[in-house]
Amino acid sequence: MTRDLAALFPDTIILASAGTGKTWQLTTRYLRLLRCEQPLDQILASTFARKAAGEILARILSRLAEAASDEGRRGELEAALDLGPLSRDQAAAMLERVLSQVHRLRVGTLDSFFVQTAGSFALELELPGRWSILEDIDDRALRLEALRELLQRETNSFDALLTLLGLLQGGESARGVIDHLLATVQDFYAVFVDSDPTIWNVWPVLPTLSDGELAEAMSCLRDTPLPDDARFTKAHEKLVAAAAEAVDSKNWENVLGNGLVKAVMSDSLSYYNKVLSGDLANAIRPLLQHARGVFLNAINYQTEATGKLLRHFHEHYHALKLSRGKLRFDDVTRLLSRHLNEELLPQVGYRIDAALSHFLLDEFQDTSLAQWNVLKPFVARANRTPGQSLFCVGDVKQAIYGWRGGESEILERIPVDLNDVQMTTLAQSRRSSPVVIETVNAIFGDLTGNPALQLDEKTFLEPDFLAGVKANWRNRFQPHSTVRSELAGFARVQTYPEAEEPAGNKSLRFEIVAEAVAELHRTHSGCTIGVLTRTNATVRQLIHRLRNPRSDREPVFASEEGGNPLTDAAGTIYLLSLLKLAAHPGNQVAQFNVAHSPLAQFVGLDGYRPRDPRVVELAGRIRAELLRDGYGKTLERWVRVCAPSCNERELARLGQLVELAWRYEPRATLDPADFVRFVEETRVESPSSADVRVMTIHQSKGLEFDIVVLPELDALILGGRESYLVQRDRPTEPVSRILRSVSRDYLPLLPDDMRDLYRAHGNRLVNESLCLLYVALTRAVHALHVFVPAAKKSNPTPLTMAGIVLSAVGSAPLDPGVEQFRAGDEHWYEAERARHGGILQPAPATEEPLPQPIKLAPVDPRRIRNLNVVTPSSHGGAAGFAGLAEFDRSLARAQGSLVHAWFEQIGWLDEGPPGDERLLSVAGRYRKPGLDVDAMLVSFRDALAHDGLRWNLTADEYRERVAPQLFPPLAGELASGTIELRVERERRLTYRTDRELVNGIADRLILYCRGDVIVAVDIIDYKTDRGADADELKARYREQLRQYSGAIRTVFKLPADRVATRLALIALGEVVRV
Amino acid sequence: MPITRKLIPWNRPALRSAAEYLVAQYTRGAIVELGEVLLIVPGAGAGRRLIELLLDEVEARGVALLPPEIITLGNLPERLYVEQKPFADDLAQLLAWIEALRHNDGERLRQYFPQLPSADRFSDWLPYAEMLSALHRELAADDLDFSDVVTRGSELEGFLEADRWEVLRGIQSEYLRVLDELELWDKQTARLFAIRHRECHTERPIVLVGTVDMNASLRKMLDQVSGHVTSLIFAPAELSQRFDEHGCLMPHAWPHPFAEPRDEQIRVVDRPGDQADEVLRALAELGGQYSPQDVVIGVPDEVLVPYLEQRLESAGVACRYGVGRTIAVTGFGKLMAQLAVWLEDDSLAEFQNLLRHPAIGRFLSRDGVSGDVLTALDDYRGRHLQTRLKGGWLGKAELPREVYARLRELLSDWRFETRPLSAWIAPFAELLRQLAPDLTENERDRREAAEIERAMRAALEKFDRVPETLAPTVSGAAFLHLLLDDIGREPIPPELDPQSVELRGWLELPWEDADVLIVTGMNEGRVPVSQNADLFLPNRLRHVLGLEDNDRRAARDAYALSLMSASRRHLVCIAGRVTAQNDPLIPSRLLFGADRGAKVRRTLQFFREESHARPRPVPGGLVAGAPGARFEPPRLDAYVQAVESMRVTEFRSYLQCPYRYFLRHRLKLQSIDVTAEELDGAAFGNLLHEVLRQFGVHEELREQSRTEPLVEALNGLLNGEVLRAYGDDPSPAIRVQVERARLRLHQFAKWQTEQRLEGWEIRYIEHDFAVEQGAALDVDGVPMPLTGRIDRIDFHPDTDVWRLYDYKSSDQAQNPLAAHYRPRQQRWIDLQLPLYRHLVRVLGIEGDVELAYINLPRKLSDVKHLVAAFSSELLQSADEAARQVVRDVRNNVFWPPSRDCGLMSEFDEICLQSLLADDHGEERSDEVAP
Ligand code: SF4
Repeated sequence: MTRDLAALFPDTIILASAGTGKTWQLTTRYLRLLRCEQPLDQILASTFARKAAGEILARILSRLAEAASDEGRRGELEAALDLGPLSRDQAAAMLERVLSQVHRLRVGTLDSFFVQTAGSFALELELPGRWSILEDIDDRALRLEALRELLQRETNSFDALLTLLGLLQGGESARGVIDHLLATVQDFYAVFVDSDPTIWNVWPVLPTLSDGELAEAMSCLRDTPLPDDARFTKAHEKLVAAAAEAVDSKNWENVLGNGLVKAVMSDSLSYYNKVLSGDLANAIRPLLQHARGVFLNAINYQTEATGKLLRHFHEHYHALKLSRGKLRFDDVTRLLSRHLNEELLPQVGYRIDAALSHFLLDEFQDTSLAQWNVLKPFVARANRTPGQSLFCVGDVKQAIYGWRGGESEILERIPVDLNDVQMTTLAQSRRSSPVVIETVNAIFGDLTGNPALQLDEKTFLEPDFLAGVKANWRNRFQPHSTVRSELAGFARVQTYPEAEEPAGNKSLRFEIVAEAVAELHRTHSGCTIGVLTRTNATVRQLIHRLRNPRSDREPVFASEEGGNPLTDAAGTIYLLSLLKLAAHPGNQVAQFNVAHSPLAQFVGLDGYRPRDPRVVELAGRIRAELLRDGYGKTLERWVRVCAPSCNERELARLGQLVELAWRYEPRATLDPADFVRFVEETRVESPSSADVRVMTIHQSKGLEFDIVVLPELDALILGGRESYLVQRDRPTEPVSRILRSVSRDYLPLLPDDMRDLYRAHGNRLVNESLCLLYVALTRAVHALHVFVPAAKKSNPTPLTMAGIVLSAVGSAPLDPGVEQFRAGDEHWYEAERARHGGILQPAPATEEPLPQPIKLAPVDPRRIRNLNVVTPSSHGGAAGFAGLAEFDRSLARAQGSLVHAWFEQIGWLDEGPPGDERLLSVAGRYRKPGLDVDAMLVSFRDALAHDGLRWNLTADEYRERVAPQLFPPLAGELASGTIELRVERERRLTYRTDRELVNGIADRLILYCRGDVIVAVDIIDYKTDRGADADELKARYREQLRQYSGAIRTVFKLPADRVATRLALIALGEVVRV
Repeated sequence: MPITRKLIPWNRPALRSAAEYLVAQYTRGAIVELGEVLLIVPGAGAGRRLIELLLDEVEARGVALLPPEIITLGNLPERLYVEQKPFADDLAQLLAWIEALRHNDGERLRQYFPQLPSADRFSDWLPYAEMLSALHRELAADDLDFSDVVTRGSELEGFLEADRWEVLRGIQSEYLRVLDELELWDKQTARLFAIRHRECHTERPIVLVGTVDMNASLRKMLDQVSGHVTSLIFAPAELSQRFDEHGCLMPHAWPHPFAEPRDEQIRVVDRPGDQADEVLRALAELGGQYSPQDVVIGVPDEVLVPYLEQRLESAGVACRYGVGRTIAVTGFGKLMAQLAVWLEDDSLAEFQNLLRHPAIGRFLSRDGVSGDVLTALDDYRGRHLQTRLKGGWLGKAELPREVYARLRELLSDWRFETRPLSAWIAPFAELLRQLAPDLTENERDRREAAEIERAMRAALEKFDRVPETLAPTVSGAAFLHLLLDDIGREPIPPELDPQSVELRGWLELPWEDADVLIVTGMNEGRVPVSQNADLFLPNRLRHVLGLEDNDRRAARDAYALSLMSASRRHLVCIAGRVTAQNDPLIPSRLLFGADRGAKVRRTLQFFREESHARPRPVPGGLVAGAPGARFEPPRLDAYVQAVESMRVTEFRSYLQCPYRYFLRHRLKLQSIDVTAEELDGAAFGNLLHEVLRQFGVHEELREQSRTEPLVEALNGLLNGEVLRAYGDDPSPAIRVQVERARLRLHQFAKWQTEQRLEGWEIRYIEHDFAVEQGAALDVDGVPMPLTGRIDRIDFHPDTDVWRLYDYKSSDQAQNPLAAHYRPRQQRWIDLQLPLYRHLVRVLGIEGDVELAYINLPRKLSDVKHLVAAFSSELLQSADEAARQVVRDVRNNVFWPPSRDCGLMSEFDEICLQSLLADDHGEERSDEVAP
């Protein structure tokens, strides 16, 4: 590798159109770096979707493995790398190297990279002590809590709060407070946190008339002469009334809506084709001025109030997040972007253990400004530093995540901001058939001339205000070609028929698409079909209709991307009703539902009548069960009861519910309703994985299908009412101004600088729709089926995606229910099959035989493992918290333990008693305030002086006095010395029963040994109890000693009369047999 | 004399070999004399199992066992030296760290810890103390302190943090000083001291069983007693060189396992659930040869446990996860946690959650409190929307009051006060004494109680021992939290069930001796765990310092997999492709095999594209008993009774959905929603209605023709009503709502005085028409009695016109005609106003009347009345529509439920509405969700 790295790895941007092999480009670059021995942990390869990140790594590994095992693949890789010859063994060695460092690879999502980096700077970034990512489901609750706190705090000046809320709601007296605030926060928070707080009050306050001036203007209006036209008289009358009311109510909207006023506003001064007299216009103007001022000021105040609300909200919300240790991905990114700079990079490298020097950034068009701000220092350094490199892949035409903050313009700015960046454009598809590609070219090739994008009648803004976006697309869109010229294909655009009543159109359309998809599925077996929608609601509709045919066709089980809450199954609803009842026994709806579910009998609600008294007990029982067995086990039981009444899908969903219940366990609360909410808010993908997949266009990004069906391209692109508009001086700069939006009817009232925001916004919306349309169309490999509504006569080329498609490829007139465009071969499928001899055939239905049931052999009782371990003293003891009630905090415990420890030091006293030094050293670990070791030592010595104890602890005395009494038959052998005595201290005694491993420690054992054989055992347990006499203590410890005795007999195989169990009662100075 | 290394072949389970070896070595006559031996095992589970195997072994040989003392590696050091001072337990250590941090608090410290709390709250400091304590412990384990990092770190290229460690060093020495002053030691320091002063000593033989990874300080201690130490190494002799003189793995000598699973023993599947399914298949493949005792399922990744438990349970295979339940999730743990929460947040919601705890239910009923207090509270909260009892209970609320008082009494000691930690022990013991019978109702609870009690005793002793100078002063709630933090994570071993298959964590698996081992979650990141970023100790620094690093972890796992693989025939390794969150996973690098060929082959195997893999059948699952069947809402036949009268408002419900009509008006089923924090539409309407009702009963107000006095009067009425219903300190949201209601009422006052000036007189307010009054609708010759209430009836004496009003308080003003009738479809959707005509007949009001709404909407300029423009034909048609409803009701037509009923959504769960997909929420054209 003699060539210099900079030449091999120039900083590069690849503008890769859809299907042109982005991942291939990126992995090739990665493999080249690998081939050039670049340290793998210094390469960051990132993308946005987790799945895509997984694919990149999988492709890197499989390309190497394929090259290592297949000569053809080796050649391909060699060519792709373009770094000289590559042997199969070299490929294998490369694979080996990647695998050995697989844990060090940095191939993943940007989010995960940021989270990791932030984690290693947690202290500097002032992250909370232990933190984790805040899930959506908890975020809502947290926001609510923040709002509640906010309201509570702001009540200190309740009037100010009222004013603020009044301004927010435009002066009206709506009932809902919290929901409205929540919605406001939902709409504005993202832009708030990413911008300077000053952007909320940048608009100047417009002058309005004083009361006096207003009165004067009113009288002037009233007295102004009118032309002799009843329509004028009427309008004037209305205007006067409206103005009078407005003076009172301060709401001037009715005045602004008045025809005469509009005439003055439009400068044409014409009303019903008559020009207003100068007098009349002049009489109206001051009022118009005033009305406009009031109106615009209200918007400004509302914008300002929104900013103020958000400032307050942010304080509470942020503090809450910190105190809970929860952060959103955005928070992490933002914190990093504020903190990171080039100077810090070495430290980043140190803490994440890798000095990143090569950057491979995929889907770059989706990078948000905040993300870019984090990446910028890295990228800038790589751009300047020899031996480091940058490689960005993206497609501004696929920038469909603008609503999430994606700023595709950053991609286009890189060559401007950095030095020596090569830019390459890829426009040759490796996915689609020529028909699909031609259709795409037809639609995007000439947007400038597309009538749907001509806006004369459709906007209050200038007709050419979309020139910007059109020009952009002219630059961005190079006509596509495809390498897959052999593929057969077909494209069709058709209009929906119309229902008898307009209200029925929606339903009819769903029906038509569902039937068409079912038919395509039937006739194109083995093909994947992607039905791509705009909304989630349509996804649900179509899945439902595909599954429940109204004709006699087979049901089609399409898979739903992302899934739905499990409440789409009846069984779930019944189980949730039971849980609701457990939480709220008085919930009669839940009672009723449970009583009529398959669970009724199981839970004892058969024969239910409303307000059944049994429910209270039932609710208590279920809560106790949930607490004892957990949600997973409890729900599993219920599902068993339901299974006989379920169909397969129901049961599968119930299985998923149980799985969810197991997962829920760690966050389980005492309120079963929390689980109900959790289920209702968690989407769970249905278990079927199918050829037909229904999803939104957003979800389809990165996927491909043999056939793509587009049923929902009809939303007006500029039709929605956005909640705010923003202005940026440059796409890569933060928001500089913000405005709460007004109804489009009032656009003419706005000053030009406000209208600028609308122009920019309109361009953005159109651009994003074009991107969506582009993504949707380019998912297709073979065929495209587009359904659009027939256009209205009044507007034959609406500004909708449908309108853009139709205008490009259709021909007037656009009647309902007809085909508008077709290209390619409708019978492409047969052609393709003939050509391939079956590549498109479904995989031969290797019906997997039903698996054998699980059979386990019976358990051999002697081979039971992992027995419960018990200690003799724990046997039969009173369980419960009784013991704790008299929690012993006194010194007695410490003293007891120490005395025990001292006695443990004693073998036979006549072999030398333990010295003070030894005893004191033992005492070290028991030290405790108040524990008088010296005094204890004295009484320890005293105790030893007692005959009762001393005899037992002295070898000679024991042999002579004690042993013969314990075991009279052994007296002779004891006297003769045939039996040896062996002391064992703190000795474990272990044996097993059927289900338990008994494991105790005997304080002192005296083993009677005849040679190798143990013939008797004496067990002594030290007891330091005070204040009880010998009989009491014997009773207290009898059970424990009985167990010791049992253990000894088992271990040493001794008869009962050869085991003595005794207590050494230290306080009493005696040893008693029990 | 060095440590004696003893290599034992790994073709049999390691612990079995260990048991055999020990028995063989230590049998003296008929006794296996292990009593003096200290046996060191890698984990507690292995220790317990080793005992069992020893017992099996002696039984087989017919000898007696004096069992060894078995301890885990972590407990060994304290057996090797005599400590000179008492140890500071973990709590005391943390407190000492806090003390040290505070002592060093200043600009330099805050440069690295900018977020340090300023206040005195001990819990705020805790995370930082924990951070430092963990660092201290880890470094000390390898015989290092913070200053060593400063010196040794400089060996590392790019080491930038000398200054930071210098600051940490300062804190560390302060920490040690604090302990020293208290004459306490932490274990780490004691061990280092023992090492430095060569104080390690033992007289007992020490046998290390499979301790292949030991930290530096332990090794140094063992070196001082090496003559007593034997290390059992489980590996074939030819791998001897890959272990060092302590019997530990040499990290670089284990780049891969030396005994590895075969291709067919490795299964790569997609999602977590698929991994669990694969376990079922592996079990089915055993074909009944093995019992549950012969099978162990490995779970390196805990997140798989629920999936396994679910699949196994449902396939009828009992399983048991040793770590399973922790104290935190027991009834006891949850009760303590809830008590703490309630003490902190005295809200009704938390109070109610407390009442949901079964133990509290038992406590109350022992106490003689009976009744459905949960429902009473639901009812109370719904009515009064109180979140906290700041101003006391509203209305009677007898049962809630009583229960609340009783529980307050139980916790009377616990509120408001803060006390030194140990001063809470006595009240806590007392609280437990009171609740003990309720917490130990069943066998399982009692068994758990014994475990909990043991843990708790240790914790309380610790609290009690805290040196006075360090003891924090805490609230009762904080005490409970602290206690739960301390013991909450302690596992409660599930009861032995011989019929259960064991689930075990990764660390225990090498020591398993079951014949069949099925290991799930064999994915990179888990096996082995890797660390690629750190706050203090990045991997390269760890490496330089000789701390546990990625290499060491990988070597350990390579060895572990070798052991598992070498010692049994039945091994299955399962890896997933994605996590539950769809994060991609790749199989553990340990599964790719040792040689290049295997790596290539397995890469192809693992990453093969399985396009559209259809779900494969899984053995043992539940069977759907009713294929093709569909659930439907229940038929109502059993509840049908003759209808004796109808309220005029019922008709609307019936027209919307006959089924829900029946549920609401005939069965009168009610749902409960306590999530409301502010007035919903109905409550807001009721508030306005009530104020306007009171306005109407005052003669002088009805006659009032000036706005201001009326405004004032309405203000008073509103305030009174709010006070009655919501108390004197309602939540801010409600206060805002009240102000909005006030605005509407002010506007109403204006309108009302105008009406008055026009000559309208209010004749009836909220007039009730009961059955006895005799209003009826004649249907096919049989009258159907009508009942209802008319908000207001006005009369104009000049024109002799009667006007019947309904107040409407929704945000949007409503047009009465549109609200009743859909002209395009010629369909009635409500009949209330037309039916009023029939009601008022009993008041003697006959003939033409005006039917009107008084709108009180959000937009104040719309506060006024709107007279319905019903033509007489339309009214005729309304009567006919009403008759049809009556006929249908008489004929018991309550089926089917309407599919798109926007109203009465509280019955959606009965109607299985969410199955219909049509009504999955509102459709927003701009809804985009990827
Ligand atoms: S008004 Fe309040 S106290 Fe009276 S019954 Fe209702 S909830 Fe109970």
